[in-house]
Amino acid sequence: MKKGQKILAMLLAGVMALSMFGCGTTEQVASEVTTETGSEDNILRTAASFAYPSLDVHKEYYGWYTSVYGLSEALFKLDENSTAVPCLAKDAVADGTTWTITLNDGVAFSNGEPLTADMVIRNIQRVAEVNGRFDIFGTFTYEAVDDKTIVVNTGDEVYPTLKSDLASPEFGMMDLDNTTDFDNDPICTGPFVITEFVPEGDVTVARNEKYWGGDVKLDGAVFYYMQEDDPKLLAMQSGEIDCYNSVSSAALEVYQAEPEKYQVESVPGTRLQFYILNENRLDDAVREAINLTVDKDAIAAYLKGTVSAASAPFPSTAPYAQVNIPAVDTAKAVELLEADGYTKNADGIYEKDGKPLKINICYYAARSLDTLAILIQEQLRAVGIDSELTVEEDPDATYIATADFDLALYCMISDKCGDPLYFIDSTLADGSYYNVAGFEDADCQAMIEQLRVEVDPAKRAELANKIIQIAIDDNAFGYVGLFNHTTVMKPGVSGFAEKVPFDFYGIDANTTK
Amino acid sequence: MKTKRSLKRKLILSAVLAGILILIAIFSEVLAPNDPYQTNAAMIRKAPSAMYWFGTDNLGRCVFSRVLYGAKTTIFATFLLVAISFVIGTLIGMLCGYYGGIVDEALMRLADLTLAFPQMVVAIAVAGMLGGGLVGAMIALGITMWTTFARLARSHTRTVKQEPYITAAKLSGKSGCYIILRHILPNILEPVLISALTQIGTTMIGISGLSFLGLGVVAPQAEWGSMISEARAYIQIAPWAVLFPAGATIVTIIVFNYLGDALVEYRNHP
Repeated sequence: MKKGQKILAMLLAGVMALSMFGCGTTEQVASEVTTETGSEDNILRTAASFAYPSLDVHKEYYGWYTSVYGLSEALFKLDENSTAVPCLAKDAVADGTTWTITLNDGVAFSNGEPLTADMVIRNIQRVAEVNGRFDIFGTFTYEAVDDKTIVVNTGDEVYPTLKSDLASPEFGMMDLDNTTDFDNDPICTGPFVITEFVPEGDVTVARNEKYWGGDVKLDGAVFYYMQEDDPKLLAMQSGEIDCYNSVSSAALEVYQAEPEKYQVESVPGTRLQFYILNENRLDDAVREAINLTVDKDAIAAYLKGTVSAASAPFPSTAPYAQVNIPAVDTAKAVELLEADGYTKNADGIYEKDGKPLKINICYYAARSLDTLAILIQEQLRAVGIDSELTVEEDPDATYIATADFDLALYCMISDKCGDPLYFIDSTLADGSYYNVAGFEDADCQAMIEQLRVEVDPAKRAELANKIIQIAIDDNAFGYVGLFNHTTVMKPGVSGFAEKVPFDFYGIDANTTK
Repeated sequence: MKTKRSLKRKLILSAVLAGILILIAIFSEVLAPNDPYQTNAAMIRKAPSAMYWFGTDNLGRCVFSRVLYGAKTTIFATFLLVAISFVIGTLIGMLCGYYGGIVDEALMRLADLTLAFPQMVVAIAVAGMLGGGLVGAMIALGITMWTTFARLARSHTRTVKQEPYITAAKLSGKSGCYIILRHILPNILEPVLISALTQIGTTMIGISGLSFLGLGVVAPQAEWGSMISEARAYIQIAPWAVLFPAGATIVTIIVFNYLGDALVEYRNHP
């Protein structure tokens, strides 16, 4: 009887295994069918790493994705050299505190309504109202001289970065009169219009038949929300998607092995991996020792091809990236610690007054910061600085908000518009969002105020270099790596913003499949 | 029909295998050929070789050494968790079974409540709230684990409680605490202990599972679940970094489950 049961069990197991195999085959057939239709139609399929709950261009960072989806356009667009070039507007000319913006001819929304100067002004004012990062625009006065000309007065101070600021995707223009559902169906000027929007999910767009800029090559596009790297790699291999960017180093290796199947484009990007050293907890010698120990070239070697070691917080070619960061010198680091009264204990760790030197490294497991954390921990340990790793899901709500760290890893776009002010203002100005760990310098602050109003680009660069050098000399931060903007595409796909170093561009009228 | 002898052979075999695994875990530091935490930029994702038996991972670390160190983390964390749950659960079960009344009602309803949710779901929620770390993961799993032991110990206690020798002990004026420890515990220990042994496999899956989800050990500590999770991203170019820790997990779980089954079969054999 027992033997009979055993045989029955084995038979059942066999049937189950076979049925699973059967399921697999059916699914495979189904996916092959989809892939086949996918390659025949003129719809681009791609993966998006983030998905937001709303399409309201002006709020939060939602405009980044409406720009990626090809829905919204700003007055200017940043090109491959981070220069603001005409888009909806022809030009913006400054004369002291007055800027004159001229709109392009024939610009219209997807419903056919023309974009007027008055509508632009109302859009800018709405951004200032709903987006805290741009509230300075609420202090300016605006005048529509005619349908195509806007005059902006920036008050008592000149505002040199107005043109590049207006290239921010948050300044995408919406038809404020006819849009009824800002969250789900904004009416914009882009080459595509929304056909299906799942909040925090997949997004489908179709060609804007009334696009003011001429013919749109694609019929439409689908953006699948895929957070992780593996699904993107698998989807690319199975042919379910045609392209995506922010390729991981492991996936990059797979694609580079088959150049006939995948084209990879990599340009130096502006997404910076850096760390903040807590001046309230670590004294000068320890901070300097840490900065002399962390070897960014060694770290970049681990992140094969996805990251370049940073020689400044900005791409090395920028005129405002000409600073001097001391080279790695562990002997000097050791000397500094010993001069500061630290002695090595039996475990090979420095200690002072019987207290071992152990720092708390905070990070979040994205943008390769987990790899950075492990490597920095190891490099510090080699010279005698112990550390513990604390991983958080949301750095902004945890260690950035509380400043409860010794070394905090973070990743942000350092250069959004070919100008250093944004990064300097976010990390070094008094009371700024990332200046949470006690960095304070009167000269630096005075120069930041100067930078806010300086018009001449050469002088701006000079000021920026001096400001960043102060932060470097003070060992307030460590600039580790700059991500390359890496895009993988099937042969035939082009125009997926693969040559632009920014994350907020995607498909446009010239994208082909 | 299996004979008692063949069952004994099965039991000894599984006990020897489990013993070997425990020995490997204890002596992992001696057995590991390389430093499991030493990164090496020149040896990133290298295939298995004489120097690196299981290849290297994303940071050039020796996967074999990490699997050995991981054995220590995974096996000992599992043992500790099962032991603590066993002690707490059995104690609660005996108290409930012996005294009954309102405490029994309250604790057993609490047990029902925790059992109403799937163990892993509760564990993920609790580990998430505790914010990672091996201790957090162990607490998260322990919250539901004690109930199994408590219910088993309670039902056996209630049976044993009816025995004449308990009545005799009571009549001779022994305290409840004395009776529980001296007369009840030795008589219910065997079934609860065997239950503990069968829990080892499941607990190991739980701990590795939480680490896989990033709720277990803190980087860079070697643990099988987190190793699989880290290496998953590059499985296509370095499958060894996933396969070896996964294989180690499977083998260990099978061995401990086999040991538990063998013991149950041996004990239940007439």
